Parts: sequence; structure tokens; C-alpha cells
Amino acid sequence: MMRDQIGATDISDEMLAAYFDGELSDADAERVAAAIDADAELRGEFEQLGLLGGLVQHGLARKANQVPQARFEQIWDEIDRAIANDARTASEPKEISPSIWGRVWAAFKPLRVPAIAAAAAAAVTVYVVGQDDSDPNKASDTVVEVTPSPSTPEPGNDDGAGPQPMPAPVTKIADANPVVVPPEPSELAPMEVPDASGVEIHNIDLGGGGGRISNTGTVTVLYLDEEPAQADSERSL
Amino acid sequence: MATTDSDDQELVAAAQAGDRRAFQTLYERYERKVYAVAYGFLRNQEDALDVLQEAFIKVHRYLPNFEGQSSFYTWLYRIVANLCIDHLRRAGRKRDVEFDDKLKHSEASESSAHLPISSLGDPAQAVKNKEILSAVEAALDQLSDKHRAVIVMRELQGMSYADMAKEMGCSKGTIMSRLFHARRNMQKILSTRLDHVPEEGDSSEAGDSLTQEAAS
Repeated sequence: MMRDQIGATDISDEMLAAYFDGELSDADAERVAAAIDADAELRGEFEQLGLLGGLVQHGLARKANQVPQARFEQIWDEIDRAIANDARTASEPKEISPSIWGRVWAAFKPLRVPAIAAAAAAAVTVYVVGQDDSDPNKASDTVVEVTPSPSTPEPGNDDGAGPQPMPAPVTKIADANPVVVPPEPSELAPMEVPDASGVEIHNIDLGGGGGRISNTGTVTVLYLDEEPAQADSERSL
Repeated sequence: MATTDSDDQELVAAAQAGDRRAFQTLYERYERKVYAVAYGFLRNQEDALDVLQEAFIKVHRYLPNFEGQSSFYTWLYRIVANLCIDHLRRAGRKRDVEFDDKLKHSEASESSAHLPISSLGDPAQAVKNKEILSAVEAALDQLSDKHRAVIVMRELQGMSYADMAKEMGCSKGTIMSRLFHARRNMQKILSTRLDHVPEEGDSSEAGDSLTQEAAS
């Protein structure tokens, strides 16, 4: 904002205030001083700045003088206590501050277990993938042998017309590989009877009424139903 | 008590050497001046006393680092101004911001506002007039925090524009403009209040009228 023209000189109010505060350069200060000398209105405004400053100083000093001395003494007591407390704290032995690496290690302490677990998982993954990818043919080497289970021929079944036990695939797993290849579920393999009497179950028809057990001529018919009450076996000679 | 920089330096040196009595003398020398500055900023007695306490605790803690490149009171006042500005920022007084904006952009603020010097009489006597000083306090109350801050830093602490800009986190130009508007607003409020200020001898009547005005 510019003041009204004062003769040939433009002196803004802000410039006048800056002159009052001693913030102008020497050249500008000389120009303002000359304008103040030449213009009574400008001189009046300059004096107002001084009066305002004096009023503020005296007004606040008066306010400070209204506070009782006892209040300032109370404040000093608080300061004195704080100083004594500082001195006591300073005289106590300080703990040795850890090194920068120690502080970093401490900062990451909560993340250690998850990080180690993630690293371990990543290592296992990399190892397994590496095993699979290193040699495509190596996968077939893992299952080293697949042979049918040893089937016992039925001595009493000369004509061989009876249902032959299907050779159940037996999978031999390589020692280093825990992967188990299960047999095909659609084909029933003969199950070994625990008492080793040579009896074998050759066929079971679920929900039906037939069955045959070799080799002593004993036939056991098993009636199997979904009803629990009829699940008991009936044995006939 | 008249103080000089050399007196302060001796006391500071003694306090730095651990003389608590010397530090207490420094406190007693500046307690009211610091309070006046803090009250000028904050307009609240207890807040100002809190700042006084905090300032001297801080001064004592940093006293070993004080090398005397500036005078003690300049250093002390800078700490006080810093604490007051922090206090104001924490408080965030909305009322004053609104008042500041309204006055700053009003036509009345832009036009000249003169103190009624003729009615104040002798300026040397005017600054001792209780009614005038009461009006000054009321006018300070109405200023915004920022305007009051620059007025106090300049008129009480004698800080340079550069130091004020550093304290308030703005440019020198902003300080120059802010100080101009602060003074203009202050003059405007005072001129309204002091239009018919009587002489000191008739102060009781004026005091009543001012009290009634403040109450209304």
C-alpha cells in the first residue's frame, strides 16, 4: 500500500514502520528521514509509532506488576526443584548406549521369528524347485519300481474260471522321496488274512448276497447292507 | 533494578560454574519482564507463569552451551518467544484467527487510524495513565495471536525482522506486512477507546466507563 504523494517522494506506511524499526538500508533510511523532516503529517505518523510502542511496553509492565511477588517465588521454587532433579539425574550412572547395530537389531526384534520362518520356507521352496527343475527325467527316477503284489494262486480252483485277483500295483517309494503313490481304487486287491491260514477273500459284492472263500471249501456268505442291524455276518458250513 | 549486560555476563558465568544463587539472581532480575512478554503473547496469567517457569528451566539446562555471542536477555527472550509461539500453536485459538482476518481485510483497517495524541496529552505522561494502559491491554486482547506476537516481539523484545521471521517460520516480508497491520489494528482499536479519555485526575469516571464498556 502506498501513501499519498508527499511532494516528490513516495513513502509507504510499511516503509515508514521499517524505518522506525531500523530495518531499512542506509539509502532508504536517508530518503525517509528527509521526507519526515519535510512533511508534518508523516512526522505525526512516525511519532505515533513511538507512542504505540511505549504504550504497549508500559501496559504489559503494569500487568506484570499486578502479579504478587509470592507467586514469582512459588515459580522459583518449582524451577529450583527441577534444577535439583536435573542434577540428580545427571549424577546417576548412565547405561552404556548400544551401538547403532545393536539398536537396529533391537528395533527389528519383533520381526525376527517371522523373518526366520519366511527365510526357511523360501529356502525349502528354492531347494524343491531346484530339485524338480534340474533334471526333468529325475522325477521318474523317484519312483524306482512298480510291481504287482505277489498274488497267491488258488489251489482249489482248477478251472481258473473264478475271478482272478487283479494284481494290485505296489509302489516302492524311493528312500529320499516321501511321496506315496496310492493304488488304483477301482481294482480290489486280495487282502491278507491275519491268521495266515491261507484263506483269502476274493470278492465282496456290497449290497448283494454272494462271496467265496477258498481253499478249505468253507464258504462264507456275507450280507452287507447299509442298515447297521444287518451288518452282522452269518456263517454257514 | 537497573541491569547491564556486563552484570548479566558475570551472573551467567557464575551460574555456569554451578552457582545456583547467581542463577536465582538472574531469575529475579527478569521474572517480571519475562512474564510481561509471555502475558503479551498469551493473555492468560497462569499460562504466562507456566512459560516463565519452563523458560528458566530450559535456560538452566542449556546454560553450559551459552557462549555469550548475544546478550543474555536476547537469548532469554528468544527462548520465551519460542515457548509462547509453541504454546499458541498447540492451543490453536480459532477466535483470534477469525478476528484477524476480518480486521485485516476491512476497509477501516486499510485506511489510516490515528491515535488521538491531542487528547492523550504529553506522551510521557500518557504511558503512565492507568486508563490509557487499560485500553492498551483491552486492545491487545482483541488482536489476533499473530498480530500480538509481532507487536510483543518488536515493542518489548526489540527483535529484528529477521529474528521474528525465524521464530514465526515466515519471510521478512511477511513480518513487515504483519507488523504493519498489527500496528494499524491496534491504533484503530485504541483510537476508538481513547476518543474521550479524561485527564489522569478524572480517571475514576473514565475507569468506570471503560469497565462498563468492557463488561458490555
